[in-house]
Amino acid sequence: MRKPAVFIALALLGAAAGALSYRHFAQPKVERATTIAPALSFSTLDGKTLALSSLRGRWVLINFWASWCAPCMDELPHLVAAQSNYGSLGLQIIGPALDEPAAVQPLLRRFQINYPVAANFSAGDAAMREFGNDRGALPFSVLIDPDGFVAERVLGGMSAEQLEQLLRRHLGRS
Amino acid sequence: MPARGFAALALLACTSAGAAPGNALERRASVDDLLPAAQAFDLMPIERRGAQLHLSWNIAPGYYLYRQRIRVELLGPTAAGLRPIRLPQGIDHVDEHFGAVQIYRGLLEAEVPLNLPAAAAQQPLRLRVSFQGCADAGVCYPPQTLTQTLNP
Repeated sequence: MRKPAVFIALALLGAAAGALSYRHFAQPKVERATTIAPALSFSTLDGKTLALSSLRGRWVLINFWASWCAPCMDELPHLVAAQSNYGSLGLQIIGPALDEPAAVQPLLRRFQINYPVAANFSAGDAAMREFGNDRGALPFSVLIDPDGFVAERVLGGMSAEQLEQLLRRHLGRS
Repeated sequence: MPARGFAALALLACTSAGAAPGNALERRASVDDLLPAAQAFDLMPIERRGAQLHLSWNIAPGYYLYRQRIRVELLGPTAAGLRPIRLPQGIDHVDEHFGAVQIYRGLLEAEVPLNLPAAAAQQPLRLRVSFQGCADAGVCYPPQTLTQTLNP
């Protein structure tokens, strides 16, 4: 007669642990950021200068990319969707390309890129190194929080689901 | 730059409720895992063998070069003097963005026939070699450009 009671107790304990772990993992998990983003600015293809400092108060996702990088182009549609879906939650994506403007311009139209893009190889490479990517490998993304601290860095292309997870965790649901 | 941010890659995978098994983020490289381009695509010193140049690359395991992005140019003593590079058959690779391409892995050897004017035949050759490749980890390196001088 005691065995069923033990099983029931264990089952209840397991259910409680599961519920607690669900609460833990389901909530956006924002790291305590300790590294402030470097004071960078980007000369975008529309002729403007975009300083990171001017974006304080917003989440900024810097996506370093290039036309010669296939995984970068795989990621572009997801970034366009993310800018549409998370712009109202304060997301601003910036796309510095390690590339020539002439190579990037057709891709702006092809992918209907809806965020500012820069195209200057040496400036983009230098900016990427400021964020710790000294290999120059692409794609490389850096998420900066509204206080100007680096929240996450991601090397390699993200799928739509992975980008969604990243943004949902930090910004909440779109 | 502390490693905290790159540790976030693992965090991204671990905290992703409902993430599919084998999530690509778990397999992706961190910057520290990647070789510098010079080691990933190690261009040996160019050799002059009679009437042609011999080039070889040691491509590290897990990395590849694009055939279409390999160039050799003569910078001096004259700009003309090289025939088109002769590359071996590569590995067929279909890319959504670049179409049907060829890539190389492992040891790559190539020849460039010389067609130098007589006046330039006994002078040092200044060569510029450019190439570009990627890692299987899902990242690509910028085009690499190196110059080498060959004495006659």
